[in-house]
Amino acid sequence: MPSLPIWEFDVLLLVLVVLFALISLSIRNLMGAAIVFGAYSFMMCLIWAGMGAVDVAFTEAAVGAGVSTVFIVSTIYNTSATMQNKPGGLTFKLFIGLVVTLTGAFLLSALPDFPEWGDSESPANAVVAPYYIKNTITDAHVPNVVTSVLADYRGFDTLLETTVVFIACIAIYSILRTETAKSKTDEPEEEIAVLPSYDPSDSLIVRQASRFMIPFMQLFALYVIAHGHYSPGGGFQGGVILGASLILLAISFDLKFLLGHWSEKSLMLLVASGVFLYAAVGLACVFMGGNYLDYVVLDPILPGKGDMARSHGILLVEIGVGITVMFSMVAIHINLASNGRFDRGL
Amino acid sequence: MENLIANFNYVIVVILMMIGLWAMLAQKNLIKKCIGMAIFQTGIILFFISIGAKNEAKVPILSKFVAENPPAIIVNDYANPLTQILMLTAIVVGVAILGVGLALAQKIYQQYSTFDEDEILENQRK
Amino acid sequence: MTEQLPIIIILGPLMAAVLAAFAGWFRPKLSHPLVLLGLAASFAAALKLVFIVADGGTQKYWLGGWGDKVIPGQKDPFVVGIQITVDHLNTLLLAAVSGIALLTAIYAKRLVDTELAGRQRYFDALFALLVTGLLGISITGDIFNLYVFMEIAALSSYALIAYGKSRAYMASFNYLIMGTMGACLYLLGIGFIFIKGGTLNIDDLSGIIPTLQADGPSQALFVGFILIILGAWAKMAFFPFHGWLPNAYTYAPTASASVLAPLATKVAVYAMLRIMLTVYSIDYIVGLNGIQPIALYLSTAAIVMGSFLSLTQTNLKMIACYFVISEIGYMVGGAWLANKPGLTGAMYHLVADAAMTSALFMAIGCIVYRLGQAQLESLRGVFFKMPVTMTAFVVTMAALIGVPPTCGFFSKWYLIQGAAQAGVWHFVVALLLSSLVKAIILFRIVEIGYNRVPHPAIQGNPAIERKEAPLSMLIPTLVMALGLIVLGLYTDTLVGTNTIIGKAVSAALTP
Repeated sequence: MPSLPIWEFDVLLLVLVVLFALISLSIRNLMGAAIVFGAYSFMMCLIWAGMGAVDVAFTEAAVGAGVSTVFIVSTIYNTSATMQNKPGGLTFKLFIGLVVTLTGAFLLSALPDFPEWGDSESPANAVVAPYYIKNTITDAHVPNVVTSVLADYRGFDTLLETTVVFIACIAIYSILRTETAKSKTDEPEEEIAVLPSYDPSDSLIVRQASRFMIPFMQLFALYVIAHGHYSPGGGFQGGVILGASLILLAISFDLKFLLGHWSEKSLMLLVASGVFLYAAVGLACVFMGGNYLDYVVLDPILPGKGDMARSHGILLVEIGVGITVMFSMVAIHINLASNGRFDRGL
Repeated sequence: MENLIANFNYVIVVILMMIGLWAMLAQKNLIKKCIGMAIFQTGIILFFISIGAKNEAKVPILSKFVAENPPAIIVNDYANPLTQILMLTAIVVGVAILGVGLALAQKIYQQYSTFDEDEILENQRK
Repeated sequence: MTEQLPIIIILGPLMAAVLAAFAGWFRPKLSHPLVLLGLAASFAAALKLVFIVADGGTQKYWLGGWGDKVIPGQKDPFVVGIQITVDHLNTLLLAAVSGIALLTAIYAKRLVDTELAGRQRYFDALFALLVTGLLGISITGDIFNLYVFMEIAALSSYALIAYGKSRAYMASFNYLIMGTMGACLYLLGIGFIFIKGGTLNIDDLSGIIPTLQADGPSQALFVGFILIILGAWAKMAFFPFHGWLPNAYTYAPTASASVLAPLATKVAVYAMLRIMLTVYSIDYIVGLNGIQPIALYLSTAAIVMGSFLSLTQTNLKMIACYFVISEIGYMVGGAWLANKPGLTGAMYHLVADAAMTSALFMAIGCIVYRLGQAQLESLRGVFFKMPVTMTAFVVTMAALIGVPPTCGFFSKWYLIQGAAQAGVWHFVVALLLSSLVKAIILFRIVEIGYNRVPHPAIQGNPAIERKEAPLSMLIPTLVMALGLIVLGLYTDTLVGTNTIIGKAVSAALTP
């Protein structure tokens, strides 16, 4: 038997993620499914970290294991966690199972054609990718190659990705919020009665612990954004952590408490302003005579010596990303947790 | 068989994606569908990260020494940054879709008081 | 300044959307004009580029200036950043998408104000973001960038559909599941291509893929190709994946449907064409044993099924949705015929069908605006009540049926020619059958709307009062309907040997 080409610990994790995926889908209680899904995401980010993808693992830990799970939980909080036990539909499930198995077999048929796992001379690793590693210092003075590719070489993707977050935020706002906005007074009482009686703000321990944690979380998040040039992290990760700190505030105290500090209007305006900052930096490049997002031409209006322009441009757009992601996460959470009422909720 | 072991990673990737795809199509519960969708997406992300992994490679952050001597950079010391960027984007897109899906599911629940697809269809026919 | 034109196409609607999102909180009245301005800039740039491309050929634009770079260990230079490309294949589509979006934005204003009163804070922004996504898919030269644009368009369309409330939520959710599945399959396909090709740039890939298969076909590239095609099919509601479309577009507000129906599916067809013709090649497709006939049979099935189901519907919007499904069969079939007339027909129909579907949904929107619904039974006497709208409607139906000199006739002519040349007779029969079904439906509507005058007891007044839709809706509808005839009359300047589509086809056919 040939030895496994991957780290043994990874084998265990890989088997575990499959198990967790199956458990998460077969559990009959939705709350349980959400929690197992969170654990699944966390395992997944360990695997990625093991393969050298720290930035991806960092993002998955914050987004997949953290915020996504909170979103699912707050949806369940507003609805119900029970699943109806209904017989039948087995033939349909088997049919889909057959289709899916065939698809899987089709995908596996390409395996012999793949380069060996971990081969550094495979086309994926040897055609375009070496350029970034070789030139990130001379081009942009950014030792974290992921950051320089993210915000510079493929900065357009990142602008659009920020736009995706912005769209998700205004889409959820439009779906949930607008309808209930005017009917605040004639809210049907029984709907409130449906909500679980558990009040999360009761717990003294949770309150004190989060009061202690939140400032450190925010400080760490700012460090992650600002230090993204040299260490794992950047606008997304930092933005999600900042957003998570506010979500924690909302969960441990009260949604009202959070809304007392951040009004609906200011949240939604800040979400748009991050995208605006990113797009405007790109536009400034056009007006200075370069191509869109070509930060080099911004040199005359940025501080520092000439060849630092790209590095500064990257920082500017990362701040834009951070703002949009942070406030999007908060606004999405408030919408989902309060079912668009913006008054009370998880 | 040897091929399967040599590509153990990719086999797991395909299994994960197919679990997710099956849940998206066959599960009747809307929240379970959303979870299946997220599993499918993480499967794809694992696939890309596996493509970009290199034996004996470190995280793609240059050390202080080579950062000061750019000609000393050895490409194969660092994992592929390109696939990682692509997947950062995919993760963020994934959470955006999940959020919109959950918002729609909440609205549907308000209307029909159930997450079950069959019951919703029955309600719509009435 | 002309070298910046490609990016203006994207930035116009994108910046307009962000500014409209700001304006929604301060001056809600401003957000619509802002979006119009952005779309107009985009349209002007796209139109200018049509002429530039016709004279000077392909225009490339490198984001951040990251163009061809020499890479250690590689002979040829590669594009390391993201490229956007305007060439013969997509320049007409870009002009059509931005033009139709601009007209629809003008048209939809009244509908939004009445249908979505009090809830339209972000409607204009989402509308502009949808158009950004669609234009981005059409312009990008990078397969991963295409995925991101796909998700931008998809996310904004889920929200635009969900504006319809009640049944629209479930329709939108189903679309979300199906759309995400399509996008995931597409992304997976990119992975299979990337593992062999190592680059994401479409031009570089088209050069690299033949060399990879010099000593025998590559299974990974084949799986990647099939996954991408399946993903695009799910996105465009092609036959086995069409289930989400009718409900989504019927229960969506008319304003959303009138921009989604003509543009979203067409752009997905373009994405399929781009992957088939540029990333891979005609030789590759013809060399795939067994896949081409399957795709052609599926196209026939899509046309036949769409046509018959449209006959059974009683709601005008639903009928139009099934038309959309059958028209997708035209384009996919034409592309997979993989010969000169077939490809010409498919590329021409891409633009023609966008215009026809747009005119159709605009006319239906006018009817819904006045009658409040679109059930066939409610159309009694509509020809007397709204003669101008109904004229536009009849012209559009004539184009869909394929009556000369409208554009529908010419695209169908090329498609039939291509099918006959390839000997695919079932496709020819399906095309003719589809025309027949559309003619039957037109006659049914004429019969109801012209002959069956409302019963005096129901309507109260036997003399029908003339009441057209407001001018801001009527004029775009008429412009669109007139456009169908103009497009038909100018067919020769678009599809001849030395014209834009002609050059795109010959570029696809010569390796």
